[in-house]
Amino acid sequence: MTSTARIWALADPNLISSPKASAAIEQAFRTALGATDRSRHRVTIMPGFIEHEDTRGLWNAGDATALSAEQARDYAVKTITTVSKALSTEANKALANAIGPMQLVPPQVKPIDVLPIASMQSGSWDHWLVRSRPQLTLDVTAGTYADVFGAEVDVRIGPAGAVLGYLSRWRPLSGEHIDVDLSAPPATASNTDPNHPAQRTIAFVLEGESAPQHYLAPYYLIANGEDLELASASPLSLVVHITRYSSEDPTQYVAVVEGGSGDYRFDWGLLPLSDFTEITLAHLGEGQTVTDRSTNPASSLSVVTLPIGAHLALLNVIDQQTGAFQHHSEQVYVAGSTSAGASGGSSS
Amino acid sequence: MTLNFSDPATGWSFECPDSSGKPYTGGLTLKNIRHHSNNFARDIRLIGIRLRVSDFDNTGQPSIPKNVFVSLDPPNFKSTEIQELRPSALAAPQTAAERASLTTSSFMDRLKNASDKLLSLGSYFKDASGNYNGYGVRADYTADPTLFSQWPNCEVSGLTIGQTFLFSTYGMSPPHEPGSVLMAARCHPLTTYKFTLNSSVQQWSPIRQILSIRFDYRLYFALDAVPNSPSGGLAQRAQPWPNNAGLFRDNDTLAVGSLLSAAAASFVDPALASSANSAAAFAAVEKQLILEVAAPGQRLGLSKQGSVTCWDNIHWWGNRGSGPMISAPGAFHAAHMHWRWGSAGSSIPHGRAAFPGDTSGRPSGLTGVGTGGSLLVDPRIWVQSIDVAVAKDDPSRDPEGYGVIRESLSKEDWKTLFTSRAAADISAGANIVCWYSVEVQFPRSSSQLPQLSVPQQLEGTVFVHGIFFAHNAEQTGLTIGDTRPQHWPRNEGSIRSSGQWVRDAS
Repeated sequence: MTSTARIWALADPNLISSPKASAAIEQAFRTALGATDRSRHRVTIMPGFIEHEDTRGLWNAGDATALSAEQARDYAVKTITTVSKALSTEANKALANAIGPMQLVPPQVKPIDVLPIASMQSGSWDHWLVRSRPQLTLDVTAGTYADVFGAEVDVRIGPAGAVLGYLSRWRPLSGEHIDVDLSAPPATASNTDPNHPAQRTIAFVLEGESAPQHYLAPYYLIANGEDLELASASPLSLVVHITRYSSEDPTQYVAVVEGGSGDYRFDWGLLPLSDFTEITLAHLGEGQTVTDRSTNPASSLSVVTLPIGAHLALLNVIDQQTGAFQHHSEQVYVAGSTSAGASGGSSS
Repeated sequence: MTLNFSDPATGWSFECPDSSGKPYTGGLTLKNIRHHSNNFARDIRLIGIRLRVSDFDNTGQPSIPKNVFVSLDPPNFKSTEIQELRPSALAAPQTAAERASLTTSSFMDRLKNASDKLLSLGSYFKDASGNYNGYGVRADYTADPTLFSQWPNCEVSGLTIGQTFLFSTYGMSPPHEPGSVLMAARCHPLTTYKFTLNSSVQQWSPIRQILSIRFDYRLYFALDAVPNSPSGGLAQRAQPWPNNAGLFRDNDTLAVGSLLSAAAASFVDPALASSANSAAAFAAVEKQLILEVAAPGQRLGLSKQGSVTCWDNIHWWGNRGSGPMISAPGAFHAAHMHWRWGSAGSSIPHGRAAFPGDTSGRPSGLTGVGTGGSLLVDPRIWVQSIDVAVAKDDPSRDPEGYGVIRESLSKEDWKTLFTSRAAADISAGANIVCWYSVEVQFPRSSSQLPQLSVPQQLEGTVFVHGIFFAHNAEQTGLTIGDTRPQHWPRNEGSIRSSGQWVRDAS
């Protein structure tokens, strides 16, 4: 039987950022945490995270070791449950235009780490940090779940069990989802022996706090010799690479996409990393599209010529067949070329 | 006075001493830096600048070079006020028109129908002139004209310096490891320089020329630490705030045998697989540092020159007592600072060997020893030497310490700031400080640097690779990296017995 993978839609950030909705979310969040004193408790609601900080309590909490690690974890789990319930009922009431009940914070988490945290000034143990990782249903038929890589809930618990900080790195789910076939893992991950499969797991991937993203899709996380690699685990899970295109022209870069239908469109941009005299986004457009027939199916690539310097290259990719979307950015260090016959440093 | 800065959009907060809105002394200093309440650094600053100059007569013969220290203070420099840089918010494409079909179509159909809008970067980055690089502070400095006019017939007449401390949001893009799967926020302590050429220089007289400009940083990282007491169990206090650091040199060629061994070993013992993977990834490693160190990070733009083999990156983490050390590769709660990626780790997509791989940073066409991998510096000024030191915090090296003169923290021979006493053991974690020096060289003839055929620019920016601050829990369920100490080719015993401060990656 083919395994399926659930694709979770992210809510339209415009719905959440409306003054009415954000006020309702903030109010529900503050109430759940007992953080209604605005002069003391700072709350930040952003598309990529919700954060609370007790500005008087944090770093002035006293002796955190009055509480055990287990007690701190229990307080944190209880807090996460309370916040989740409050936001799924109270805040959702204000989101009249929403498609379905939004998951404003992760519906399910597992605690993975409990650490005492000290004050940098005094060295005394100030609070406990309880870190939890969200999970979502992967295959509804098989009843399997997968971690959401990049998402995390951090709760900071003071000596008396008070919540001193709460960070939910997460993007609200719209309430919609679709189920697609799970893609087979790559036959050979780079740098590994094809006779011995690389170690891997499946996780949903939440992009960075401000990166454009429209849904959560599953990926294979593969441990290879150098570090972790991503590989597509569904037709909607795109993996984008930016690399040098040719040895002859060091200013040519190419975008390579894996995991989709092969029929892609691109949009490039460039931000300066080394020259801040003008901090402007240079829009480079779609680049020169070429077809790579060495893959099955054939795949569109996009080639651009970049100016010499250090930049942050930005790229949006759309799969024209499926609507799959992926944003990618990469620091690029574009150099010129030497004259022919130049050679390297002293030999040894 | 101290200015307090915080940015809810990126989660960064820090303090900055000031004098009537201008940098207090010696340029911008950032203190008590945190990201989303995770401790990152006590103090980050540029100590000062060193100019190396020489007089060249009309036959091209240089005099003995002079080495001059300048700090970003009056009367050398006039500064602007501290400017706060706030990031522009990303927009979300309006999809109201698509909502009409909400009840009959799936969200993927709606995405497909709105593909033009979703594809365009302009839908998200609405303000093309907006600052999408991050949050930060900036100050600019103009050298007093007498700095150069006091020098006879100097080739430059002016110098402007820009200090920008830039902080990004948390994410895994742009990647800071070749595999691109590590969440982190970036900190870029950028320093930009620009010389003004002297239009009235007299060609028939000896000309004073700039041989190099050096920037010396002090980076007092302080990541959350959980030390044990001497008798085991949690220490009563996290003092003296023990942190650890490690130095790594990536492999430039894939050791296939090592990788096959790694895969095979995974069937016997995952820990063996981790160890073998690490061996394949690193040509040299000292994790954790056994003794204080002053080490080469790059020589004249090369990762190996003569008998010196350079390190590629440093990682920094809070000591965890009897708990596991950070994983390497991996390091999910650590500060990562890479100035070169080895060729073996470059991110050539699977099965796309036709692409040359990332050999950027240096001009293409360079071949030979030390030219492999990707150099993560401003390509306009790639001929630079990087040095890094890790030393215990010491009142005599504290720029705010009683009686400490700033110039004394920027020695003409940089490493001698540290090497006057024996290297201390820091293997169990210690209150340590990172020192980072980058010298941009302006070679004047091919005899000084044979590979140079692209001229160095008299303007550029240093520290563009930045520091990546990851603060997630270690990953579970996969064999990622190795959480044990790793030391090769020198083993722990030989490092300890040698007592050497200066240790390269050979």
